[in-house]
Amino acid sequence: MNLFTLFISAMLINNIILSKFLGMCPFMGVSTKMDSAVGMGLAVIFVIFGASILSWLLYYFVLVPLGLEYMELICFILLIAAFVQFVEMFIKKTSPALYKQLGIYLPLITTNCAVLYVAMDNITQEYNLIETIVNSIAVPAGFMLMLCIFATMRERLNANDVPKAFQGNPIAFVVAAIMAIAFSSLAGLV
Amino acid sequence: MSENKEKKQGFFSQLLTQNPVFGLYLGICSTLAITTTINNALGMGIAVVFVLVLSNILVSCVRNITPEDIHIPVYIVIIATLVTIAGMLIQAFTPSLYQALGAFIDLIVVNCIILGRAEAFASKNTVGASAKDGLMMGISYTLGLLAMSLIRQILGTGVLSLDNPFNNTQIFALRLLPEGFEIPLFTTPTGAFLTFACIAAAIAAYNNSLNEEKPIKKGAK
Amino acid sequence: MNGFFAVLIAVALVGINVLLYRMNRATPVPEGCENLKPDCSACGIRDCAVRSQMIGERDK
Repeated sequence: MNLFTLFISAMLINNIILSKFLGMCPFMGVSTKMDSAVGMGLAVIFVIFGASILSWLLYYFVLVPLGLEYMELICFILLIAAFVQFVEMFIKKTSPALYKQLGIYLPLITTNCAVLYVAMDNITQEYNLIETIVNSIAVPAGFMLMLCIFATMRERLNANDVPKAFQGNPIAFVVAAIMAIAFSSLAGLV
Repeated sequence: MSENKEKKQGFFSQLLTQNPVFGLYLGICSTLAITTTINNALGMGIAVVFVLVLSNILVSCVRNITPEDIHIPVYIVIIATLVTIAGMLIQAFTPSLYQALGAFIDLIVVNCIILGRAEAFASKNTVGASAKDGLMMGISYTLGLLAMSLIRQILGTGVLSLDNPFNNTQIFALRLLPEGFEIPLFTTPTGAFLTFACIAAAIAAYNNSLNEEKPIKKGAK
Repeated sequence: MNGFFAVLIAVALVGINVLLYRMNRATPVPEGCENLKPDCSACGIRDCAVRSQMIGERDK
């Protein structure tokens, strides 16, 4: 598969939020301000990229030779949890400025289903290492794009007169529905 | 009489407002993705009940022997093992369901309800209480899934049907909307977001009405 | 033999997890970052493990 096609389809057409519904918790929780949306987005890109490459290597160099493919779920989730701890420690030691921006979002990522999904998807789609790298950048990039678009929309929504029952999350879901219609038309791109 | 009514209202409000899907926004990911048909919703609900009850029991069993700083990895291993077992059982006995649910069976691991209940309830309570808590949370999660999928399937396809996933035969099919009047939008992601928004708004409205009623009742006393 | 490796891998991964968790806890938080508050108000997950952990740490 053409790598550029893979990138565009993973980022926009099969957008992880609008067509797979993954990572909804941070999407609803964090995307109320632009600053936090950027911080969360960067943290997710970093963790998904690292964790899925490590998972790919673990799968093809340890689990397959030993015939233990059924262990992938247990191994991947433990690997993700360990990787998040490592990243947090590494940032604490090396860059306080970066920690200030990303620190609070890192622990939230362990239970983010998007991370596990990308790691598993690279295996089920039988991607090679280069395709895995492209896919693991494109998917969280699409996530961050959504988070930022949504943050700006919610800033505007706060100024609007929304019916009482729809205030807060329900109106955010209506906005997401309209965005899903807009993004579904991108399917013609590839 | 009035006591009975209050009790009944208490049960309903608990079912609505304490429902893990709608009240607490837990596990929205899988809720939105797999509620296209009642079959998928039921299958997912049963898988979640299975994992939730067993993980609560096991976590409660080991709660006194796990040191404080390794409890998260231990819980993750327990939950991931149970989800792997559930996935294998579904693949073996109901292949059609396995195909329909796809990756979302594996994603039960990161469903906030399961780790959340293990942390918040099972790690502090006895085995019996934890099993009961898992069962209650699982059933109300399933009810939330069923409510979503009912709306989406009826509006999206116009037919209310249920299949037997073990041998792929239809148990019943009931056409509720005349042909040509169904709205296929509701089977797409857009429909999922809209349905969830409307249900969440309805529950918020119900909560608001309860909160408004309370002060009046107290004043009357 | 296969089962032995399976258990070995799981135990190794849990070990790595615990080790990193302890090392992460032992690493002091950089200056000026002690009171970072989670900006996560819109999500109503009351029993979210991460959130309760963060709130607990904040109270300490």
